[in-house]
Amino acid sequence: MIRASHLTKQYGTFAALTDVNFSINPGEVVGLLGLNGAGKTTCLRVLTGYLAPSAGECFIDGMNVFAQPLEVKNRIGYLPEVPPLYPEMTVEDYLRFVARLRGISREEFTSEFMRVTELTQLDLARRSLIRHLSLGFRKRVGIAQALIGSPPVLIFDEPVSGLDPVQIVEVRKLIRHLAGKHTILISSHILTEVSQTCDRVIVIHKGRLAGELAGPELHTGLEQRFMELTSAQVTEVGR
Amino acid sequence: MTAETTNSTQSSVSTQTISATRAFRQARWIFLKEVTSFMGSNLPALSIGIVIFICGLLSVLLVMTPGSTYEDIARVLYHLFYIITILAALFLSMSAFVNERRQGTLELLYTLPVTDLELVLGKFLMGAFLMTALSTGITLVYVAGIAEGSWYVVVSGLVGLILTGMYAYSIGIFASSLSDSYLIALLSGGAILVLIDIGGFLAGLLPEPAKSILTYLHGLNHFLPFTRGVIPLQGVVFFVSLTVLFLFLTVKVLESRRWRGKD
Repeated sequence: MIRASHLTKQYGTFAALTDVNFSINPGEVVGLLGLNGAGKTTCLRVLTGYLAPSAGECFIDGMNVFAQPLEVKNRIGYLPEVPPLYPEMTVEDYLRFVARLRGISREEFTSEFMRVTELTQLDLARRSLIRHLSLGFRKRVGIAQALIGSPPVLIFDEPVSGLDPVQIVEVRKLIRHLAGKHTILISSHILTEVSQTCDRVIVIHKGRLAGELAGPELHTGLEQRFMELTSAQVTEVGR
Repeated sequence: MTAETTNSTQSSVSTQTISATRAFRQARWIFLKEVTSFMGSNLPALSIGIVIFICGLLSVLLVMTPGSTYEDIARVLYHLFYIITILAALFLSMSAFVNERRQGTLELLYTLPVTDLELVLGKFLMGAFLMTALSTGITLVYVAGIAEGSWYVVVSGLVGLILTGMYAYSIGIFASSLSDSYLIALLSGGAILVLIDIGGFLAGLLPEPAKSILTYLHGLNHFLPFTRGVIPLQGVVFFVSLTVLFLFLTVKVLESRRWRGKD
């Protein structure tokens, strides 16, 4: 469902991604794990078509992200690290705007709106101005916009950053609930987060693919394995 | 022409029609979002309030000036409105992309099924709407109402002001796409407009062909016939072509972020 092939992204002389290859099967929940500045956000931005790769290709549902951008964008729900919201809009107006751009008709919107606000527990905040919402609620609105239109691929950049423990548990539950129906890619630098929500973890380090972890490795010795895979950085920091 | 060629031509025309319909539909949603955002913010409403206050003050002073005919007053009013419309367009357009960048919503728009052209078109529709509303308001109240200008002067002046507003707004949108600071967007938009207009004033000092080029690019020269009850084709072409040029440049600036690596 998601495939990155020799993905490279240069910012001037700085290589944010170098020859990254991976693929994600339909219905999988995969974590993109790495230290701060490892290249996770750049990777997600390239996959969503927001940035062009310097080399390599990526495919969503078999379609090249840069050759068929509109078709690909119709299949992706994306939540950046900071929820992209219009503070002067109400939750309903904001979700309606996103729905319209996704080609959802007026008639379909009502049921779609009920569905996503129920999933994200936004029922009570439907008519609230976004500027009056707490960070937790804003994050939920961000997730709701990604879910509008039920795109087959969901890409979440640090979905639990800045949330309190109760909200973190709620977001985890939501992601597990969506697993199977959507292919989900989550970026995070929190080990417990990915171990509890993901089926598989791709470790990225200094813009390169450092390894993959799956199965029992995610629950036992994850910390140890992650330290091994990112040891170059640890050694460098320690010097 | 063979049947195959005819079918292929028809299919191409049909695809283009669908693309154009889609582009206008998406631009319309962006426009409606702009209206919602506009209604929810203070700055644009404040700008309009200031414009109306200045226009009112100036026109009352002019009407009270002894010895001036209604046509003189209408002409002077249009000169003032030309400057006021440009300033209003710059103030209202400076936030077009700066706000989106600051809120992080540009990332949302770039990852939704919207093309850069549709995005710019939606933003421009808002500008066209605001400039039309503003120009109509001040022309009807001050030129038609207070100064009692002839109907043909009112209509031609209104058309001139709307075209000027759209042209200045497209420059403002372009400047806004270059920066994430309101001040830089405002100053760079103003600098482009001043360069175009000041260049015209200095044209007489320069040799050909620089003289002819700068004279042609002088916005005020193109606007003057509109204040005399004429709608000149050359003026219309000038304002429309510069509007299209700056909208095109804005699309190119937005497209470049994919390669630059930042919005």
